[in-house]
Amino acid sequence: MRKDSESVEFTRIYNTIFPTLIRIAYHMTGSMTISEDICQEAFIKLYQRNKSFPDKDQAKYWLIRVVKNLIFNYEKRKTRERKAYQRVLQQPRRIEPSGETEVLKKEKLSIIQNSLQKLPYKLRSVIILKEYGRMNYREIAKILGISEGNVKVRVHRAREMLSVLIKENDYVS
Amino acid sequence: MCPDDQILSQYFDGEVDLSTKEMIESHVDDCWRCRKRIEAFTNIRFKMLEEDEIDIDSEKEQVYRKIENDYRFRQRKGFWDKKWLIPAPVVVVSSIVICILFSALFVTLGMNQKNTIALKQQRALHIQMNEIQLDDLNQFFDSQDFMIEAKMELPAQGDFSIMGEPQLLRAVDSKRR
Amino acid sequence: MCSGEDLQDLLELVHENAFRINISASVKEHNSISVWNMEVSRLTISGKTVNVKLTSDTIIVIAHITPYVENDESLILIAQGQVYLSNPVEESVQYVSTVKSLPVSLGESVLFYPLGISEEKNHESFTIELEIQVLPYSETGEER
Repeated sequence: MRKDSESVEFTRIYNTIFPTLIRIAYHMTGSMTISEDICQEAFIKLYQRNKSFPDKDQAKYWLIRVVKNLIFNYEKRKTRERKAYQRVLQQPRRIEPSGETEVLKKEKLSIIQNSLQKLPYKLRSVIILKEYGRMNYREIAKILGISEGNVKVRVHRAREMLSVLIKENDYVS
Repeated sequence: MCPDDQILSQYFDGEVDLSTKEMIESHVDDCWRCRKRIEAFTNIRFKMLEEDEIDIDSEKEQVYRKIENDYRFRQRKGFWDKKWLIPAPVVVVSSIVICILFSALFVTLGMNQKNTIALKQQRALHIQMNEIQLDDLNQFFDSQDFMIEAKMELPAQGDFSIMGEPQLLRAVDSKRR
Repeated sequence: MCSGEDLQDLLELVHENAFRINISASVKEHNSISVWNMEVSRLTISGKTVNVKLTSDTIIVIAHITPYVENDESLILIAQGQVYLSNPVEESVQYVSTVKSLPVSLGESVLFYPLGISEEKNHESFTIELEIQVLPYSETGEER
């Protein structure tokens, strides 16, 4: 790797933003393998485009937007595959992404993570950007391309649904 | 009177104005129910941030190594290339604009003159786009649903290439018919 | 609210001014043998574009076909072709865009070649050909 100021800068951005990015990706997709790929892809794109940002936050938002798009495409592919599978077998099937089996191998999937995975994409994305991305409503709205009002409502609904799911989980476990 | 749960959620996120904030704070002091609601939000946030599943440091190293081994990282081909680089969305947007402009130009001509003149036969526009895959373009087009779409099922051998200037001609004028 | 008469007038207006566009898209090998074909038909009016997207592993072709009314019997046909051809070796995509126009008569067949035509008889590459025909709306459902 070239040891010039650009590479040093890239490494610095990488070290600072990686933790946030991997958390967002992992909690959105539930798969560490997919998340690693997505983060790798996002940073490569950053490197290729050779963007310089006025501050660290701008770099963070740019990367999060890329990650969000990659995740969105991944979710669409998953849905398409599930639908295709159903068409072929004429029966509904809950397709486990490889990630779920990975995580299930661990002794216990925490209740909160389980519940997060059960949230619909629209609610999961806002609560994850809020808690892991540490962004305010306006920033979340910009990244997702929705209105601030929408963000407000979805964050609240996500919390409501999580509360219910957590309680249910508690009874089961 | 308890504030709406929605407002409590916003307050919890620091997304209310100062006067609302003060109002809620003083209410919460005396209201057990609202305190419980906020505790529930806190609980969710706390549980989400309890990080027992991801080994951040090891993941960080692992992914960085993958990046270092990625050929695109090593080459940085697209950036140093002298070819004309245009981001794909710009190309798509400008091609739509060009089409609209041509159409507009044509309509104007048509309206101004009794005998409409066909557009001068324009030479094709060629642009080389690097760092882009057909997959990316397909995703872009997927989001637009105004087309008749067909996947061409082809024998494996043979392929496509730009064979010359695109042509529009009458069937009777075509030698191959 | 449309009155009964307005609606009738409207329908007659549409009938008089609408077109049926028949498009037969083919992929030809060696300049003559058809290895794939698709036929579609759409209703449209003067100035409204019909868009056709053809894809395969290495190419995306989008044809925008627009008829413009010139007078009672003839039209101008505008064909814009956008071609995205991927070059796997260079990891790039070549973009070619053209706008072509031609005065045509109703019912006349027109051929559009977004990739051009090769001069050689037995060229290796596939040729993409769109045969386009514009008919008045009243002649509906007529296949060539």
